[in-house]
Amino acid sequence: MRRFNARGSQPIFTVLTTGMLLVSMLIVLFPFLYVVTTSFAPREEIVSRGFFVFPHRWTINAYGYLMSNRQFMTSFLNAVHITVLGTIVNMSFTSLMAYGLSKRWLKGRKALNLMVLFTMLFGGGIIPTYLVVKSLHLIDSYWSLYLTGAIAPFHLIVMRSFFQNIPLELEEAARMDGCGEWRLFGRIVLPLSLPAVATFTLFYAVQNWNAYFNAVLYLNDSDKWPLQVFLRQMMNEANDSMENVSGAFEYSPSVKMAAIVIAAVPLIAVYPFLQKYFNKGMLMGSVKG
Amino acid sequence: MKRWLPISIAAVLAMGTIAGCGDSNDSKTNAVNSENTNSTAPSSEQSSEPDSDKADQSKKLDIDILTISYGGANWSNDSAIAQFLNQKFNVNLKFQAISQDNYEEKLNVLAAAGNFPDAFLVQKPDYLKWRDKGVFLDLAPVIDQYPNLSQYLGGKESLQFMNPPGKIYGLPYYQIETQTSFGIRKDWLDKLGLQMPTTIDEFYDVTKAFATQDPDGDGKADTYGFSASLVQNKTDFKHIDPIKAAFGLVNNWGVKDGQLISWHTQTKELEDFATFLNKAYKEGVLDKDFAINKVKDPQDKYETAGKVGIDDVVPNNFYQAIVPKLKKVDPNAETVQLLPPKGPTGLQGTSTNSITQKIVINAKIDKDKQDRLLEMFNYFLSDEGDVLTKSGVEGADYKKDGDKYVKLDAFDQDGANLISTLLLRRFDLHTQIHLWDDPTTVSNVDQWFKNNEPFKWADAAAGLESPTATKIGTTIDQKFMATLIKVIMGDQPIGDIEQAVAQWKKDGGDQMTKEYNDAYQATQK
Amino acid sequence: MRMEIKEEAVESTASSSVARSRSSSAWIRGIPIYVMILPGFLYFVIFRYIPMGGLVIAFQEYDPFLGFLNSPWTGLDNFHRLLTDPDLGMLLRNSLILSGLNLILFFPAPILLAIMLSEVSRSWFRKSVQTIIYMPHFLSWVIVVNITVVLFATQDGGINNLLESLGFQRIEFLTDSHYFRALYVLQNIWKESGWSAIIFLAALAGVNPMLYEAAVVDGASRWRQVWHITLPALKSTVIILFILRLGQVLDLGFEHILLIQNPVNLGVADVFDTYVYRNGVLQGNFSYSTTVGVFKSVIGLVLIMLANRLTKVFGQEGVY
Repeated sequence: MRRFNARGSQPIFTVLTTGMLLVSMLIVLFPFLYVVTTSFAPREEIVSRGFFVFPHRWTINAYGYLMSNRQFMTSFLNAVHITVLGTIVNMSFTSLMAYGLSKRWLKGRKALNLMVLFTMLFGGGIIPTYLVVKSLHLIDSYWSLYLTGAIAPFHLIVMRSFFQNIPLELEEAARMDGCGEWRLFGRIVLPLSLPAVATFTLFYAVQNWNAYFNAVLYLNDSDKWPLQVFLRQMMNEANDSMENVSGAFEYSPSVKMAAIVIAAVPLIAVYPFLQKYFNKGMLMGSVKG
Repeated sequence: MKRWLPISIAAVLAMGTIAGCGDSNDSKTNAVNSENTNSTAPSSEQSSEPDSDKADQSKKLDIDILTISYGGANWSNDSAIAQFLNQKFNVNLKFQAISQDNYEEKLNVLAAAGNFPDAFLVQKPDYLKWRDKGVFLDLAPVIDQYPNLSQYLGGKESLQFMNPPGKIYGLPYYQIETQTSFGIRKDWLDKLGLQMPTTIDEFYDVTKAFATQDPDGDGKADTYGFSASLVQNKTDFKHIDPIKAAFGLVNNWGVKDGQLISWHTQTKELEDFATFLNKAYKEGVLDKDFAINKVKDPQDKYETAGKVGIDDVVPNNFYQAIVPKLKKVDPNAETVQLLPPKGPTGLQGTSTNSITQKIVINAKIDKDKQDRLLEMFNYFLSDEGDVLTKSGVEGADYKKDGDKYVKLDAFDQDGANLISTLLLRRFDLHTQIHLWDDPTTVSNVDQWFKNNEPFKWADAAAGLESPTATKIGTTIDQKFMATLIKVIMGDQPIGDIEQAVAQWKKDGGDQMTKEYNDAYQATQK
Repeated sequence: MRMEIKEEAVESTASSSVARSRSSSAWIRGIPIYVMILPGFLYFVIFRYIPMGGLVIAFQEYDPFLGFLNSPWTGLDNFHRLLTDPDLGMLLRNSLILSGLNLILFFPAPILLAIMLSEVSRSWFRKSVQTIIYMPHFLSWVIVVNITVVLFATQDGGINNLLESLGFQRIEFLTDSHYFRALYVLQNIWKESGWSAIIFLAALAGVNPMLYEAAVVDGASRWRQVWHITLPALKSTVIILFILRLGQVLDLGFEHILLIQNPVNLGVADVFDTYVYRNGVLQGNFSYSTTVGVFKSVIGLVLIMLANRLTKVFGQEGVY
């Protein structure tokens, strides 16, 4: 970190950036704390709204309740399953295709790029997609989720542009050494693109983790539904018939908030591990400018 | 790459499928149906033959049921009730409950794929749209074989509702008609030395006193008279139906001089109503956030903050949740039922639901499955099934403790009452009463309903269809509401209501009125 | 300065390699690459292009029971309905204003954030800020809007309670349509800036630190370093993201808007997605939903093409 200090100390600049970051952090933190602390608040305090940020007494009842709730745990594990396998599918499809399309010399590249871009704008909608999934006999299988969302065109395009930024000399040099495309991709390009790989793994993971509507659409077996379906059901706000709302079991606010926290924690917890890939200049060893 | 080969071949096949829409079998039947929609549906022919040995359950069947979820647990195949039913009927029951905002989409997709579940819930517009397409099993020929279906679902008239003569394409999903009524803070009334209001003017005086005379005695002007919200699609108010009724507005559609009229066209009544609410808004009597409240917010505000004097109460919920919660905020709190206040011309009305949702059985599935489903439905409505679908399985969801019943955790976690809350239940005010509920509570709840009964304020167009309403009703109703609410909030003058009425009529309201009236006259013959 | 020289060098190598491959049999050389692309290609064909046939329902009165081939054809009726809808002007105006605000205020926010983060020298501070501002992404819109209501409601909102206790008037943040646009954009920024910054941080990870060291030797100030090194490093990512965003100029986050829409702000808050929800989705009218979707996409396509052309005029690489 000395490196940055060596960039000449300019107090105004440092104070300004630090200050602005601090303010934005607080603005984010305050409402977020509301969610977290509500999940730890005892029922009486929520009922009387006797606190906003910190309850007087803390309890982990809400978490205990969720952990002992079989449906919650099943759907949580389903979500982990879907996220891990889905993200593997996403990253293999996307990185291979993005790498291929990053070759400026490739014949048909422009047509393929246009083909990808076009799908960002035009989609056939849910009915025809459902028919395809059905005719492939993927209904009620997690493969319906993995395959229908195998590539997000947006991620593909951005990833391609990351690959394109890798200096061509490197590729040339590797080829001189007799490296084939697969080895070039696996041994040189991917390691050099770790920030991009980390980013899009995270993006896809989050997307899979939050996937909701497709699960409801393609999975008829409620035991297979992921966490987000459970969560939505839990948050579901009253329809107009009041009786149904009150009649069906209702979760207390702290349980709802605890569920949100639990649902957010796995991916928030992953982040610090990925952060090292976002350090400026982490690639300097390999790229000689 | 090899495993892609079969998939790509399948894809080519898929193209063919898309063109034909759905399974080849289904699309053929669809085509047949569309050609002769007026003739009987293909499957009714089968089912019209009386079933001689319906007890045959030797074959294990997969049964798919789809309905709308209103929150709470999902169906779990491991739950005690699922296992009980699977065994009793030799089925493998898949019960999907998905939230309202996705329901319409999924159902339409399934319709397009020719892939309807074996039984499902249908809301009014879809029911009327699809009713004559031969996709729902006609129950008329078989209903007599299932005595509980004919006995506990409101009888002939209720089964026949929204159906062509002689046909029964669906079973009604019961909702308590006069489900909610005003509750009022009795302790506040006493503290301020006020009488129970009986007219709308007295109602105003009382709620104003609640807002201005510090009924909770904390020295702060933080209380208000009553709250309200909009219905979910923002086309109408929620929680203030008795006020609307008092001013002579109809519940969506009403009959005047033998003709159906919409509340959107009652200029005079609307002006009185808006003037009343505008005053209430200005003077801090009405919740300032009524326009952004979610449906359940007014109730939450009543029970959790203790700052509102009036609440629109669901009695079951009231005794089980509101009273205990409110007691924690304010131990002196006491809520009593407030009957609908009389309007200037003596009119009174209470919030009234219409029973328009139907449970249908897929006409395209095997007769075996249809019979099995009917037997299950018949069982759900039996005395035993009624207890099962409301309270779950003894030993798993509740237990007997001496002569009392005690609820167990599994009941809520497994959603043991999903069938009764979301699918099928008796026409019986005790929709949410479980074995373990205190008998006094039950009789209190009954009393609220009984008191409310005389003030029924029904929507006269509940079972009727208007294509225009389906197409643009929500849009023009929302626009109308925008003006009405701005008038109430004082952003627009009261005179603008007249324009809003004219605009509503012009944008399609007149057409809707005509269509509803045609449909209405047809039912009157 | 060194940066520019380097880029030129890259460009020249690129063009020479293009020339070379053209002369030789590029197809054969491309075989391993085509194999790599194949799974993705099949994905696009099967799950994107085959279903695209469903777009024909924009020209039909689609009936799920009749299917795509047998539903009655209505030509351009659906488009006619959309284009003659008296609300079209309002929808376009609302969408474009909100989109414009997004592009001006929301789009740069994560870039700014990424730059500031990259300039922070204390690693623990950078990491904590990064993690915290990333968290709101994991709250659904329902929760974000709920929190907003708790804070900003007129009757009992935290901010208004504070205002009143300080002797000010309560402000109708949520029911006064004048606040709607600010509210919408601020919620976007609050929820997504930290998350969107990731991609820019990743782009900055590729910058060679020696460039900064050289700049310090040249006596460049921190401002100048940001201007001459950090920003150029972000350029290609920013351009691509900007172009792609333009393609979604009429997508404003359906769930978000629907949740903060109310009858009072409808005049400024109604956009295509909520319009089509009301007039298509809720009615199970897939034809009209599709029509509006096609309309939105065509506008997006035109904008992308224009932007891409413009990018190339300025000598940058576009999205295709």
